[in-house]
Amino acid sequence: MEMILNGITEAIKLLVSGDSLVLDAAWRSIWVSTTAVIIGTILGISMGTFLARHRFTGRGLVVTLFRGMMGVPTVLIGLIGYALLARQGPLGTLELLYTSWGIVIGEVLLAVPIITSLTHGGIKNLDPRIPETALMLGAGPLQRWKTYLSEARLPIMLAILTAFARCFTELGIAIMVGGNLKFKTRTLSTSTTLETARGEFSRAVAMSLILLAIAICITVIIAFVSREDES
Amino acid sequence: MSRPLHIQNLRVTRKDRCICAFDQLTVEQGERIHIQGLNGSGKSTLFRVIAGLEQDYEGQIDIPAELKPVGFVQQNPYLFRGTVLTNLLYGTSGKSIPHADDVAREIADKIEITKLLDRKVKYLSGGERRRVALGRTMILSPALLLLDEPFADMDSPGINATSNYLNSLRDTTILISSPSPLPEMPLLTRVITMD
Repeated sequence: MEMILNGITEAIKLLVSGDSLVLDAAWRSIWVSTTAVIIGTILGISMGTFLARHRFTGRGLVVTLFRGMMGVPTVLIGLIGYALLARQGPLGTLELLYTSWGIVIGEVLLAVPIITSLTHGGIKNLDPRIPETALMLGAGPLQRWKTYLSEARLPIMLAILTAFARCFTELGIAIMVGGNLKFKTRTLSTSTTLETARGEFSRAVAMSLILLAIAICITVIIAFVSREDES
Repeated sequence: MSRPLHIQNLRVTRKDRCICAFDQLTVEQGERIHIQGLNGSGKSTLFRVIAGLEQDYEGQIDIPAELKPVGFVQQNPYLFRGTVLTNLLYGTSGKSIPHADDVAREIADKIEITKLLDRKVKYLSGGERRRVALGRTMILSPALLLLDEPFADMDSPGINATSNYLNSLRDTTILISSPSPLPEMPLLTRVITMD
């Protein structure tokens, strides 16, 4: 218990003093996750809406595949990302392995199934009168699409926040695709693992405190969005 | 001479059960017809077929170009999230309707929902929701108006405002469904009973 309390005290000192290792990892975690979720949102919302509103052979299989991919371990996604970005892999010429953009690509693979599946569920469960009303009022495809997103605002917001939470806290992709390089690809989760292994407990706690703070922020935002939608 | 709306031998079947049957119906342009029938007699399905929301049916339906666009206010209309005004203007988005905002306010005035214009739709009563849905449809100037039980949930001021407004629509062909007799509508041409 004393070790934990000392760790927290030291961690607060590190955060207050602006420890460069901690701040660098925190900043990288934020921009990598945010970028991945922005790209994942564009792809996921488009695919989720398409799957919910269009019928085609094999649609059920595609939906099931996306749902299944929500639970794929990040280590496996990291392995796939590594295979794609390695020098001899199909995307090797891009030289993105062990770069922050490499992690972004891996986290997009993590975010897209989450946002696609939850958006699909949200739009599929919309009141059936919504598309009929939009159609009867002469709404074109773009206006109908905007209407679906507006009416399914809450599940889509939850999808995006869930994807962000997973990307921000994941470890497997950042380690395998990023390589945990100091001041280059190190994120909060990879740093926490490394610092704990090295016995730098206070620094690991400092990193974890930031992770915890972000997780709490996301929970508060989810609660706020849900309440706004219900009121 | 304009062509009428013509329906012949209409049958809508769901799960081996006929939910709507209509042997023949001809509606001349400008008519106001009350389609009366008990719950489950197929009034809503008939309107859904005319509105084009039901594609799976037997029989023939001919809606001439003069009776388009078709406006349909459903029995339990859905209002999109937002205010009454944003709902009234929903159908004008991307269309060249001059002074749409003024037209919306004019219709709101006629159906007596002006004081509700800035109110969020989730705070409306059932009768108010029906009037907003009617106004939202009328802003598009439909040539054929289908109203599925428009007076349900309405108090007497709401019924008066709505029926006065409908009576003022000289050029619109109107079909109104209801299980019971309608409030006073002097321009009503026919009552058709479905059973």
